[in-house]
Amino acid sequence: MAEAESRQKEVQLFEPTYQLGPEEKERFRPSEVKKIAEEVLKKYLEGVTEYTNSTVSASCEDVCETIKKRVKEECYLPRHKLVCQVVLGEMKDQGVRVTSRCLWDPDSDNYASAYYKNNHVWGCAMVFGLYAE
Amino acid sequence: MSDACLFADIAQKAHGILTQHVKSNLQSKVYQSEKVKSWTEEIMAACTRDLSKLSPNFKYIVSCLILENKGVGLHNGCACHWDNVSDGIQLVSFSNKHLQCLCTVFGVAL
Repeated sequence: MAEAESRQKEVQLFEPTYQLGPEEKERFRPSEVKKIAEEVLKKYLEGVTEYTNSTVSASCEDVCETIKKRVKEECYLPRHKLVCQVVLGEMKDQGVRVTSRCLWDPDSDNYASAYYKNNHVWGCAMVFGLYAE
Repeated sequence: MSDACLFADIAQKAHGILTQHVKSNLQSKVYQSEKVKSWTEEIMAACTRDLSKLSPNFKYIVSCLILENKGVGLHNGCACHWDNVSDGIQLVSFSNKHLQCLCTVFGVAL
């Protein structure tokens, strides 16, 4: 019976740490994340001279993935879930409002947002970090 | 109130909540920059209130984007580092002759 059990697929179980909040070094730091988001937005949107569906669609995916990847790698957030939302729009004199509201634990969760614009395109990135026990 | 632990179980109802509040607030409105702030706040306050009653087992992030309907291009993307089984997203889009609205809710399990 033990052999049959060991042949079964391994299931990874994460045991709870019973830590209700992040330690000081594990905190989501909005200023660091904002800086990363600004750099990524600038890198991908600086050279855009025309808003086209195909190029901006690819840029939007790249910006999201890059911000998420860089935040995970450069900020020490081992027990945080990350949500990164990016909105890219054409610059054509239209009014826009982007807002967000969160229902979470303000002691352990936080967010950062960044904005970039040039004559042809504007971009807004929001990164939310939620502590998962 | 639901005891659901997976966002997939409450996704339909969450979608319904967002749709209801977006439509009731924006149905016949014309884009006015001085009023847009209060519209977004009303929509999000109502959505978060109803979502919290839907299930207490999630943290919710609601984001709302309202823009003038001028035929301009817009792209909305998101990347999430979470548990695909228990967490999820619902997106509602609404447009009338004068404005467009994109309302997203991310539900992250506790």
